[in-house]
Amino acid sequence: MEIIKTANLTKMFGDFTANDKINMTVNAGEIKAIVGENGAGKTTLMNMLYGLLKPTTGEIYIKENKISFDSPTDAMSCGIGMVHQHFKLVPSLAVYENVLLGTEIEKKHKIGKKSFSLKIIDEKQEIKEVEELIEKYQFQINATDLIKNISVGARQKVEILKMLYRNVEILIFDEPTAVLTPQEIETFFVTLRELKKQGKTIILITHKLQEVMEVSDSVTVIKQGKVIGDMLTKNTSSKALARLMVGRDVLLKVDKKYRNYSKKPVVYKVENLTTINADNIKVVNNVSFEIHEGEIVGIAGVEGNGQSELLDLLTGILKATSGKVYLKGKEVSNFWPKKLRESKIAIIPEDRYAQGLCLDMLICENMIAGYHGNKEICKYGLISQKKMLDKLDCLIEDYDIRVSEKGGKISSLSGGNAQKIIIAREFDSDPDMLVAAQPTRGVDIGAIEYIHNSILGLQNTGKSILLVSSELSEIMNLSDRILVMFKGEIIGEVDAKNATREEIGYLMAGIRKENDDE
Amino acid sequence: MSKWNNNLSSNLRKSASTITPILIAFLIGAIAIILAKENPLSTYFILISKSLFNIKGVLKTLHYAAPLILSGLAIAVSFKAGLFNMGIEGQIISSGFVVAILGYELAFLPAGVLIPLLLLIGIVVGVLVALLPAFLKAKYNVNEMVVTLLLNYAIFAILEFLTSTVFRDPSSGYVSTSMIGSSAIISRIGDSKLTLFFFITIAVFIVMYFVFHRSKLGFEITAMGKNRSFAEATGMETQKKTMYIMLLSGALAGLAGAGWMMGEKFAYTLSFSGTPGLGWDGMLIALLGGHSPIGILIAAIFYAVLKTGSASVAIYTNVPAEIILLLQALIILFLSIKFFNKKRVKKEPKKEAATNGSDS
Repeated sequence: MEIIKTANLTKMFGDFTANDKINMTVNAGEIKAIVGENGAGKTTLMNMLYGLLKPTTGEIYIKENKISFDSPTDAMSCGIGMVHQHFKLVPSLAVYENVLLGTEIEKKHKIGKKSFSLKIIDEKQEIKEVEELIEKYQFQINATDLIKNISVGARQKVEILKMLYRNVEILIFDEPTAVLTPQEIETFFVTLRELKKQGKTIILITHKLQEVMEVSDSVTVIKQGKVIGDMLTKNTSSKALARLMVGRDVLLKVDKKYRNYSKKPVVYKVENLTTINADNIKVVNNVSFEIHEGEIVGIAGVEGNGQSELLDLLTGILKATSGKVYLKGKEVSNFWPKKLRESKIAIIPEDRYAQGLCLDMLICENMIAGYHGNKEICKYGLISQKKMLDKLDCLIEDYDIRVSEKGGKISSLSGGNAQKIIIAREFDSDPDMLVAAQPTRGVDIGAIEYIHNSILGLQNTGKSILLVSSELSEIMNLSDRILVMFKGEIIGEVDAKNATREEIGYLMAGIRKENDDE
Repeated sequence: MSKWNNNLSSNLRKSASTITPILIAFLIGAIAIILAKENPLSTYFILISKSLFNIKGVLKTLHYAAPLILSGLAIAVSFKAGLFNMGIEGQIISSGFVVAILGYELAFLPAGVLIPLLLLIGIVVGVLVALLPAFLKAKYNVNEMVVTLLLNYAIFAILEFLTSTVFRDPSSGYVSTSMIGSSAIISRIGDSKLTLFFFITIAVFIVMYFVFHRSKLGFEITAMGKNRSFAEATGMETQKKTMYIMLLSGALAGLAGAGWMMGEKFAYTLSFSGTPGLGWDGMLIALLGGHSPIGILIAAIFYAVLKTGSASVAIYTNVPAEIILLLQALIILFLSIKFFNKKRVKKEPKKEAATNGSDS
């Protein structure tokens, strides 16, 4: 039976189409996985189902009734509950108090035949009801423990209990395993199967393909706001899913010359780099690689496998727990961004508007940010306005940046032109080494082509480049060598010239070559 | 200067949203004046004419404006960087107190040595008081707002104790330190109230203008305030900068306290900083001036106009001088309502959607 059905569901944010005519069905009692890269539109879709966003056009049907949600409360009353990636729990309250938050049970008093309730919480009854629920789903947690004293995995169970208590039939999980350790993930799957057995319908948003294969019944692949695949899990493989997720047709072919760089001197060397996050997970685990002079090394991988953390380590935002980084033989491990730039490492950050640019500052100010202390612009602590504007004029011209108003702010620029500001700023510093992260995320085709050609242009001047991107075609078009990251480790290396999508797809799904040969 | 032309329309909008609360405050203030059985228009006329329409009044206004400009700048420099130094008041009174003691003890020094020395000491005291919260913030990320805010009360209590015991002037009828020596008093110009300190303030103002708009530090302050992760990723060493900015803020406050002591008060009393206090006034001024140096200059002078005129209002009408406190409170109230409105505008579409939904 179809429990959820969407018909041409579309969501626009201004001119941007986040969800484009999504037609999807979820059957009652199944585990449905929704996969796609970051920014593919999974979360937008779920937020519409959960009443956090209103569709621009299109309809949602629950049990064949057309519905329109104004808030999560409406969704909840229709039996839809969501377990968020970041838990919404009160650490200083007990498990049962969190489960019942907002629906507390009041003490009943009886005088003669009449019963009435006072505004006093009936804790005994609350504990009893929550314990019954825990028993029913075999959750193995204690109703009276305080949230702050229990593990992340147990907290997730509390979130699930919150939904179950409210009698939801459909549970949406947003990246549920992102915060869990491998052991906790195993127990989580047990929980999911138990929920399914009890007749609940589960929607799992994820980009971890192994999990999809392990636990789901059917899977829908979303890419750039569109459904590009809808199939039963047993009829597909992680390999096929990986290809669907990242493999869009190559729209642009760049003129790339392959050479053998292994004889050239090593410019950049990363040695056993490791870091542990707040939850004690090794998000970057023993990563080592070398980049030779004039070489582009690409790092591919399904998002969330440690690429972002590796980038933060290499760009001075995150501290490594162990391991070293060398530039031309000199150690640059754990350098601050300022010192990295002074050591001639240029950085194109992953998040353009959080780290790369300041939306609320002038274009010319952004054009010098990070290099604003350089002697040519800044003397005796004063920044020369004239030289700053000259530089802007010069770089706008050189990098063909379309600026409607030179004195305007970054917020007046399109994504592509904003990214070009970063490219211009970083390339102009004449670096020895470039760390480029998601250089073309969310920019238009023209800008992609321009940025790809500039990166290759930089390579032709003998610079070394580390390219991290979730766009497989970008990695394949630009790199000389490709490293694939999986669960914080580099799982394999392929020569870009002869690499195939399949080969990389396997690695991205965590399947090593040896297994492939079986 | 091209920056300015482009921002003209947004500047106009900004000044409109600043002037509106002031006008509303004056309108409501008029009701209070009517209740005191006076004509609001003539009262306001006295308020402004006595402080702006004659030379003596203007000089007095500028005299009062000097410490306000400094304390406004002290607030702005930290707020603009997204740091909240709420301890300006404590920094001002600490500096004033130390200057009062040393101005008495070192009175044997000639004015040419003593005055610059005391101004410098005032700055150092302001910096020292700001050092603790700055250090805690930069090193351990302790909320600077809480620390600076609470320190004000601790400092006031300590100074009250010292003034009424160790450093009390026995010949004085009320709690006060001894008068500073004549060589520590910044001389007035002619028979006006204005002292040379005003010109020192203007010099500092010009320096701060360049710091805000032209310097590397100003650039980084803006970046930190607007987008901290951007500032960090572009290598602005935000921890170190946090320290600098808090200390700069303290230095400005210290200078304000020293100047106020040597140009107006001459001895530390419990009402040295007035009610509600120069530091708190500075907060309102920075808010009115939109944290920009020019805005602060205008706001400080406007505020000094009210301060100067209030005495005349008390003399020439039945309206008590406290009308000025009422106006100040109302301005703060309506300035904050401006913020409140912004947030409400954002929420409104959702509300609309909700009603539409229930109709269908």
